[in-house]
Amino acid sequence: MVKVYLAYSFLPPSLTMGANMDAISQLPTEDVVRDALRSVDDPEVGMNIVDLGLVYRIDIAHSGIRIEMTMTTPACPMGGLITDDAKRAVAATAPAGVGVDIDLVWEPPWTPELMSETAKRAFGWTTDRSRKRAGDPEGPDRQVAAGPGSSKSR
Amino acid sequence: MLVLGVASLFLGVGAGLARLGWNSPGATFGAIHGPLMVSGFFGTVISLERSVALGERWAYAAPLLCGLATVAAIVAVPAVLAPVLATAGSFVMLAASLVIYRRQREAFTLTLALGAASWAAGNLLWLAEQPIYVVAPWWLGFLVLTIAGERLELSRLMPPSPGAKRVFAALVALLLGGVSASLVARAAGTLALGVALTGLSLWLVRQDVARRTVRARGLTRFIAVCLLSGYVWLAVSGASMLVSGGLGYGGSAYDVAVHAVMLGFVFSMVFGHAPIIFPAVLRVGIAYSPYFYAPLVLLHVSLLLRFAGDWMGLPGLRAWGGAWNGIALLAFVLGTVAAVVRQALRPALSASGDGRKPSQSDVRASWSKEKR
Repeated sequence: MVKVYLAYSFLPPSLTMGANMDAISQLPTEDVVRDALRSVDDPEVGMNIVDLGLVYRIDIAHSGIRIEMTMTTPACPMGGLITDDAKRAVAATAPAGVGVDIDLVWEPPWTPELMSETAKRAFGWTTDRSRKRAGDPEGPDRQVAAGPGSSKSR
Repeated sequence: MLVLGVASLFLGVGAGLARLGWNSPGATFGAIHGPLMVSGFFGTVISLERSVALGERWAYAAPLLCGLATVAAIVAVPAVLAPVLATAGSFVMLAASLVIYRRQREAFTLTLALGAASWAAGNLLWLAEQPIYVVAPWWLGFLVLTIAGERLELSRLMPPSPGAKRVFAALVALLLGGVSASLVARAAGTLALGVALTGLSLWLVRQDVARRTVRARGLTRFIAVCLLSGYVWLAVSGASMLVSGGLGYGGSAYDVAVHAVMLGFVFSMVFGHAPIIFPAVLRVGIAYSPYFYAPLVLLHVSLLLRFAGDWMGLPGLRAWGGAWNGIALLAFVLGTVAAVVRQALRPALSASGDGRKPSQSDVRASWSKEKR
């Protein structure tokens, strides 16, 4: 048995990975997680939660992946449904044994300024107006990456 | 609770058909058609949605009380019990709406709370044994403010316009002022209501994010089509009130004004939002299908027939229009159930996949076309 194990451990990783039924053994990067979250839409407006600026924070660790997100309003009954979808999307990127937690937070309150340029263009905001509001040449995409701390600049 | 709500819907529609002259099962409840539909069905469903949004267990007393009100209306208990239960339910929802307003002090949460207050006031009048035509403006206010408030929230996605916000506030004030005044000066008060409804329909057509989302695909476009067609009916109701000197006491003009809002405006919204509210409230998925347009088309065509019958003084045409209104609602209920069943039978797709996935990528594709 020991000999078999030693032989196994000398094989190149590409072959051993196939043997683990689960192909994902590494933690996803923040970009991978964010891309997974882009598949989660608010069906009413047909826009994903990342472009809407609802994703505040992504923390990736071996102990678990934690997402902080909000909804456009606490009066929305869809919170549970969208967080369920988000959890499923992120879990698909995570290796086995790494849990995914989605926290629904209400601070800072969502404002339309948090939307991405793509979303703003889709809803008819002109780029000049959105740049002036965000006070940042790159626009709100930066704020999304940095998380709620960036709201101090407003 | 949803079962009670749906029961109210069937009873209420049956009662309505009886009032149009059909030999329908709900004939004995003809006199409470309005209460069954507004406090029984809409009240239960809207207060249920509000409780889910608030997330507090006490708020669920509202839909429960409204459901019980329907039961009380049809079993042999003192007639006062149904209005008492409905009034209690509406006050619970008012409380829930005020908590939501305190959490987020914005124009739209205030509008939702004012809608709840209008409903509660109407129920009090019903409890005080006022004729339904006295109660009707308050209940119209409830439904219109609830929907307008939710659309105001979504309109934040579009570039802000301080002028538009002021106009909205003025229209809401006019609506509530007109409804209140209708208690002492019915013609003047309901004329103001007519102006407010027409104004709100124009505001919504102009400001609603549906103007944009109608260019998307799949479910998103369907929702937008429902909304925009609903706004047309809201304008019809307002215009009808203006043309006939306010909301009368019954008869053809009254039928048009009330049902353009209740069927044309409100049910178009219900058809559009069922595919997203059902999954949110019941944790049950619904797969979108182009079939969803069928009940909507049926509803609009049957309304045209009904109102043509009202306009031309042809009770037969009105009755047939009304019958097809009922069939449209039935088609909607059956279609929703079928969509739930279809989704449940569908084998699990990828981890994040569900019936909506194809339309999501369609939507993204159509949005990216917009960029060019």
